[in-house]
Amino acid sequence: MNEMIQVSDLKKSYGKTEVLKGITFQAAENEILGILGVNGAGKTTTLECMEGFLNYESGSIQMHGSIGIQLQSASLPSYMKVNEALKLFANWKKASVPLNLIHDLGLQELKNKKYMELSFGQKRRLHLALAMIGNPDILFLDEPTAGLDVEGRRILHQQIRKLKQAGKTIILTSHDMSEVEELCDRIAILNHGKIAFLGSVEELSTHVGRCFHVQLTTQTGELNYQAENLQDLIQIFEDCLHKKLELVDLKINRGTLEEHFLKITKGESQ
Amino acid sequence: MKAFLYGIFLQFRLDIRSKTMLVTCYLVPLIFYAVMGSIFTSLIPDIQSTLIQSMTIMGVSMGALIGVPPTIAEIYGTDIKKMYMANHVPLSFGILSLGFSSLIHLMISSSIILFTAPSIFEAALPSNIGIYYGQLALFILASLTVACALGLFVNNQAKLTMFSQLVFLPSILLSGIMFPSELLYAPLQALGKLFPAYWAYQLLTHPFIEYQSIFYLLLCVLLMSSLCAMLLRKMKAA
Repeated sequence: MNEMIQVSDLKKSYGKTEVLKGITFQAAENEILGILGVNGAGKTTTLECMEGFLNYESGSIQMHGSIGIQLQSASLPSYMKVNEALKLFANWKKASVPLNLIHDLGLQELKNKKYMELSFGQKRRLHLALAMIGNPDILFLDEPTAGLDVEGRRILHQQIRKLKQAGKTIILTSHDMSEVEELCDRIAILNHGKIAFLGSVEELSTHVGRCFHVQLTTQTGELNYQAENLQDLIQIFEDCLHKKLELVDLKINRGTLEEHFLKITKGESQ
Repeated sequence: MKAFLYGIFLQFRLDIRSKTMLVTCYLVPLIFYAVMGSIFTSLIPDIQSTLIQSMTIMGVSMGALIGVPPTIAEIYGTDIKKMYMANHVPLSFGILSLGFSSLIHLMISSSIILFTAPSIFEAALPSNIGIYYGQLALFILASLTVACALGLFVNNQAKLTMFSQLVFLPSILLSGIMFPSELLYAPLQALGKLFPAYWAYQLLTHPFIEYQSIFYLLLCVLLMSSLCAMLLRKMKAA
């Protein structure tokens, strides 16, 4: 796969506060890379350096392709209509309005609506369409589904997957772990200006330890155990037999991305 | 160029949809012109020779100084600015498109005054309409550069209203359009000369081309445009 983004040893400070302390990562063609981090971890700064909004002190950012940006907080003049916004930005980018995408995002029927009349989700869809004008190779999506309802999320997720299939490189930030787990091929977890983890969600499970969560529901109540291997699991069931507990329900899972994320960010901060 | 022209066309339409511009460029100045025209012509018959000029200066000052700054602040004080930057739109596009669009709106409202005043109030037409339009365009340009600088300098809407009034009221009261500026105390006369409206009144009511007023209006355009360019550069760097 072609490497589309190469960020090397990126450093950025605000006054005396060092926000990025040498960040290195790559993103390839046909890949969705999720950038995660708690508030203040440096993900917005990283993104804004990549998008060209911020200067940085040292390191390098190489982009091998055109970029489209969907901002987390964006706005348009209140009286501007959807079709006017699309035409305005298409003119500036010397490109045509992506009609297929407009159709897929359900913007066709909104074309004569003023920006101030759009719902939050409709605005998000419009922002994605505007970012996609000119068919950019690399797409930055800053919390694309924050505040959306289930249907709004479904439409946007579907579209993001389609864009990936079309070979785009997508950099996505989100606080929604299930969204990241569902969409991203790899994740970069930022903590205190450094990359605490870079890899796939599966690799993250290995990285933080193969811990199984066992939840037993008995007639007397709920019991929670942690098991690292099969031996631990057998031990838990033997205990149950020994205590003559009557099993009502049993759940075993590998731990969620959220738990892994918290483990990493807490571990790093301690 | 195509993008820029579409931007001006679009801004022109947005201005019509926006109540602020509709009210400040057309509604209030034209109502003021109708009411004051009736009062002035019945009280001071001599006013007919300067009625078009004074009502036009009032209308342009209101449209530019009260109508334009809030729209500038809406673009540059909110996420619209970031949206433009993210989508390859130059930062200067906001003020340029709004400036050109407002120039057209103010020319239209000034033309309404110019062509209706002779039949309604028996006002005298300027001796040379072509030169009058050229001088009027210069005054509108000067007022718009002041308005753009205001909108870029003060991002807060509440403060902006105060600053706009601080420029608009002396423009109207000290320029000579309501009463002769010679009646004012010397310091107030000097203060009036700081505003484009004073020089515009001298220029538009003068029987010939008045180069001193042209010079001061051009100086205003130059200074305010430089200030706008500086504020935009500062904004981009920030």
